[in-house]
Amino acid sequence: MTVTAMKTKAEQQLAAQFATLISGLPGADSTRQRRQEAFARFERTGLPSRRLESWHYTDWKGMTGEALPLDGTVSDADLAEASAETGPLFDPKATGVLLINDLMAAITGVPDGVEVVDLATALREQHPLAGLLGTAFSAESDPMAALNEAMFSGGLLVRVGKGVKLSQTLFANNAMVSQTPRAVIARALVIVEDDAELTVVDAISGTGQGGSQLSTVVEFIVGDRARVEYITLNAMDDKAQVLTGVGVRLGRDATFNTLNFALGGKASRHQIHATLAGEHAKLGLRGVSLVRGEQHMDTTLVVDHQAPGCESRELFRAVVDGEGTGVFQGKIVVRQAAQKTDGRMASNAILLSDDATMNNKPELEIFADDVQCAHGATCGALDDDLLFYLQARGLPRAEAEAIMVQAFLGEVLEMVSDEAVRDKLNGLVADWLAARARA
Amino acid sequence: MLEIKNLYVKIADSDTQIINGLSLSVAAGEVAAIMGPNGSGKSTLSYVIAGKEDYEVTGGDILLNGQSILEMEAHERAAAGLFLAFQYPLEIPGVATMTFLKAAMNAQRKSRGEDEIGPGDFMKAVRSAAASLKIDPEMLKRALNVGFSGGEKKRMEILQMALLQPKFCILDETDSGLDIDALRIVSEGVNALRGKDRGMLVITHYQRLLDHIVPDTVHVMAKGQIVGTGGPELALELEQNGYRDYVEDAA
Ligand SMILES: Nc1ncnc2c1ncn2[C@@H]1O[C@H](COP(=O)(O)OP(=O)(O)OP(=O)(O)O)[C@@H](O)[C@H]1O
Ligand SMILES: [Mg+2]
Repeated sequence: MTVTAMKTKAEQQLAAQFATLISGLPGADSTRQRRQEAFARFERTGLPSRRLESWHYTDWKGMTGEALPLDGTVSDADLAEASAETGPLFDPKATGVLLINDLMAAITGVPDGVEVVDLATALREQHPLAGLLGTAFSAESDPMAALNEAMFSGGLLVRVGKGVKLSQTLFANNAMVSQTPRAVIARALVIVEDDAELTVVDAISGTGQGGSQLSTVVEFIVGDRARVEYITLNAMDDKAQVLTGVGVRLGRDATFNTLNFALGGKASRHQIHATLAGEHAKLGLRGVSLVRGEQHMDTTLVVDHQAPGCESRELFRAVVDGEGTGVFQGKIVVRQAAQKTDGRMASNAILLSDDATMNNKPELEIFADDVQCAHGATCGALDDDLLFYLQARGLPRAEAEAIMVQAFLGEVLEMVSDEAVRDKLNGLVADWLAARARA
Repeated sequence: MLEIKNLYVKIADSDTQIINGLSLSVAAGEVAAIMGPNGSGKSTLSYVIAGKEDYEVTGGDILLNGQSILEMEAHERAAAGLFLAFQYPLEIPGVATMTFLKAAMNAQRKSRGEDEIGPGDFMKAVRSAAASLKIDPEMLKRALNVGFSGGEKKRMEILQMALLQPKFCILDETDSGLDIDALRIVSEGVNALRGKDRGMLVITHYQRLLDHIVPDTVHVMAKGQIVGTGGPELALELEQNGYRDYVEDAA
């Protein structure tokens, strides 16, 4: 069925922006060609609405009143604001990259064996690895991934060389600042070569005046036996519209663990597409969402078991307060070749108010016969009897709830191996709960 | 100290009446025992005193030191000095016992306008209370009550009581689940808290607890009322004859 729908204002604005910007966006002819194809693909669906099954609970079209101007430049005023904005996780003494509106602003102490290049420069200079863009998170899989591929203006290319084992956590701190409303579309490509090890903390925070729209896609190509831990934080201001995508492609015996901590944005969606392409790869996807006010937070996963003997573990926990809405969609696909797959997915939500909503949609698509796969989803209020027990010991209701929420989320945050980062994330939970108790 | 006047209680979301005109008072320094058949409303009474919201008081009053507590929330009653040792202590996954103990102590101090307990004093208090109740310190590192045996949970209740130093204690079947040695240890813990300023209400089915914690008064409860009151000898009499006489009286 072909549906010819009228373009919304935002869609018209995007088309006009693309037409104006395409000639100036970074990349050689081949990249430009791909951008054009990707935009055509985006236009076939337009901004995703409920009609698209994978966006059923998040009406991005409806939420996007207009497409804010795409502006990659950073003014002096922006810079001044950004230097004050070091972000909630950033350790200034650590190895890291500071990005402002997804443009590389500062870089400190990149270790030997690691290459960090500004993506626009990499494309302009035809970096040999730039061709891997789009291979872990395909533009074909999602209209917003297509829009990102069509219009990204910058980002990073990171390569960790064969066998390079980084003991120190690498920080990427992305401060979104702007004196006027604006959109940023960026991308990163991280290549972790065979036997390499890497821990990255990737935080976005922002105080966008009058609203901002952010779309990022980070792709990981993980080599054989390589190990990656990737912690992401969305601490955007409450006017922002945030789309974060993570694409992962795992080689043989590779390990990839990620945790997304989301508490920012008016509307956000974190999408993970992970492909277990090499035998005996191990994948761990985890997430914590703290939703309040009228926030809308969506987490959508597709885990594609292509090779045999792989393991995946998904654990996502959401706490929804006020009139907030949480969404979890998780799909595990087990291809016919992926015998002996071991996959377990759980999504649990706590609703702290009567007007809070959680939509859970776990799915299994299994084409192999010798697999172990399970999923479970729970959603409900905190147990009144447990709360009474805590209250009977002298804890006011809000404090009793806070203790239970911290315990609920602590089980997920436990997987963060960098203790300082884990403490900071637990601190963010405590701050969120304290703000709630004051309200 | 605790005065219950002609109390009527029903379940909040139904018409089921559980306490039917119950009156009882316990003076400061007094240990009162309540005995009564299963389902007579003993635990319900303890929950209502502690402030559980599943129940609705439809008549009468509960006074602590002359002040009605009915309008107070559960945590305010705890701060005012009420303590309930649960018949079935709850398991709280993910909450370390130590974290919980500290949070409870500090919450009560805070609502009384006192400073938080220092980490050194806290550790000292917990260690000494745990030692006298023969609680393995390793247990305190685990999540509260999770996977604890029945007897371990009951000891943990008394540990909390010892740390919080309440003014009025309600012990709901603290003896059930305890082995013979634990019964003695726990009873010693309770007796150590007896004092002229502290009242206690001890709910039990068996004389053997009252051999250790000798009550000043014994009340018989049936069908949501107090149907008999006497001294320690009443418990012995019940052990002999059961509740036959009282149940018929109440009917
Ligand atoms: N929340 C509730 N919902 C429905 N019925 C209840 C509730 N709470 C108590 N009851 C009922 O009220 C009655 C009294 O229960 P309660 O637990 O107070 O008895 P008890 O005297 O403590 O008994 P036991 O000696 O067995 O501990 C019982 O019939 C019980 O089923
Ligand atoms: Mg009972």
